[in-house]
Amino acid sequence: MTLENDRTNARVAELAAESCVALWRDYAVELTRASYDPDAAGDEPMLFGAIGFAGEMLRATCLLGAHRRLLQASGRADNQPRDWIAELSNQLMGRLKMRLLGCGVTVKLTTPLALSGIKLRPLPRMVQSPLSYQSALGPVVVWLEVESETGFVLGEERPLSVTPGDLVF
Amino acid sequence: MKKVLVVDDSQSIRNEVSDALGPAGFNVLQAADASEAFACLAKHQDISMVVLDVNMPGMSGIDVLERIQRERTDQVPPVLMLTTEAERSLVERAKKAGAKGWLLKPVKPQLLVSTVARLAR
Repeated sequence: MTLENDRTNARVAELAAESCVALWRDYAVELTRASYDPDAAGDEPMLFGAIGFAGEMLRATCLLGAHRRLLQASGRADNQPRDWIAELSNQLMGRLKMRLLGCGVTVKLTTPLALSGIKLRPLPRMVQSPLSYQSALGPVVVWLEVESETGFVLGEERPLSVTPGDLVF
Repeated sequence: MKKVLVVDDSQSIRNEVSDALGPAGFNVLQAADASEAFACLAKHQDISMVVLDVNMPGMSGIDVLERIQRERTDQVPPVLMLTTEAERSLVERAKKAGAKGWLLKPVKPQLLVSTVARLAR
């Protein structure tokens, strides 16, 4: 792993951060970047969607976490929070995949899974730290672990002609 | 009342589609995966439209679409893909397999209703 990889991985994490804010905004939830302190959350369980992607020289695992009350408030339909966080993680990775496509990188997504926990504490990996946000109904965390092969460089991003919510054809 | 089958592994998305299409006068049937979708299509020969996710466990939505086109030689219902995927190769593959539309999540309810109303047979 080289410094170049560190920069690339950090850039992918930043694309994920932007994608996360845009995703929640589409469900009427405004996020602001904040520090995440698992101890401050007390014993309230958090639900997580777990999903990954893999491409030729780039792969990642992502956990998207939120409290039940935020999940219940954010869905457009009557939803089950475990199912909804898994779907949100799918939509988050779908957005990140679109951004990566704009950089000329194609990846395949896994299908999402849900899990729950209390005071989950990720370890910062390389230069990447977990992304965390605050909303009116509690925290949102994104733990993205990116691995890219030595020599992989993310190209300059070109906006795609389609965005989430569009009718492609 | 026209029947619309929504196939998505997320119950939340199936509920969202039902909540949008139901009040617009559609009878919405739900399937969580490919096998449920094929069973529903076999049972309800009069389905007017299929709303189909791409990224599902087991058989993908594109695989389901291709099998629907291959096996239902009588009256194949129009298929609208509803997905987070925007990869050109997948879109082209779906078009080639006969998909009538491709909507990116999160879809606005009005757009979903107008698209289904336009495409349903």
